[in-house]
Amino acid sequence: MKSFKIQVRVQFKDGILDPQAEAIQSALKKLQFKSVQNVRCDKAFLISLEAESETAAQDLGRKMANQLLANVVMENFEVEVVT
Amino acid sequence: MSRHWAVVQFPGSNCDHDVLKVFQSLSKKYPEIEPVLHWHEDPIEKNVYEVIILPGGFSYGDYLRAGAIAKISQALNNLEEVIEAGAHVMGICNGFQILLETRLLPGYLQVNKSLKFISDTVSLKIEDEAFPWFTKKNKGEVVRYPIAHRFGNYQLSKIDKGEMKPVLKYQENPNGSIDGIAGVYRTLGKGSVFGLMPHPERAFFEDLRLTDGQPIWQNAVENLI
Repeated sequence: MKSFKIQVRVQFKDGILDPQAEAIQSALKKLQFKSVQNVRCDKAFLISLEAESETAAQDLGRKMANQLLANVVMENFEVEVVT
Repeated sequence: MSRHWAVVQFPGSNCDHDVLKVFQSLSKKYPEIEPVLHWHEDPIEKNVYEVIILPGGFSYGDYLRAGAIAKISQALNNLEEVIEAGAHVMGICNGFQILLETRLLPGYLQVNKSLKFISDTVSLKIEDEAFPWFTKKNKGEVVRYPIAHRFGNYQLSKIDKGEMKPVLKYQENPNGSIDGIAGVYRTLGKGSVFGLMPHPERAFFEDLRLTDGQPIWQNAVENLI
């Protein structure tokens, strides 16, 4: 078994209200970052774990996302190995 | 035969005792009903409870997503089988959020359209019968129940609609829910699942000057006992 660090990133699907992202976007505009076109607030979970391989670590991340970290009715997720 | 009616208590539940008090009041008149407060860490076996309420509140502080962590509690581990065996489950407010997380009801709740927490009393139309809560006779009636939520904007895709009946709709949509849906219901095996944002348990006692919630509990008594 080897140690891995995975990142599970969860984002709202298109059309889900995300007032936090909208507020941040308008605050950035207030700070004169006029070129900002869109802001999205994702949730990122950094998880250290042990697994047989990089693929196995990613699989575990996907299982965690499906069972708990994301509500796939309203959210998408991506899993990557970061170390 | 005694009928155990349970209220599941999660860390952060805050409407558990409101429902329990309703059950205790009913049990004075109908001693067959035995109100039970059921701690979330204890598994629920089949055919033990006739009625199971997932109460309002902020289970696990709404961490991750409202209802997401409560869904994996021991008490709800076999919920589908428990319902199929004959239990009638009602999830109120946070309890509705938990039921959506279990996927036993379709759809999801997003933040209210106004982005505000809404605490109010609203008029609702009973759209359909829903055993044991609403009878055919109730169809078309308007009741007033309190609401108190920030994530009550119910949405679902067209594909999901076949699985359930919207049985409660807002007369004036307070939160942006699709078709003004306030509560959804489906049967499952011998039991049923009902999820709703409004609080019928907060409209039961005369001291609160709002008793529109009495019939829903009274119906359950008459239909089940």
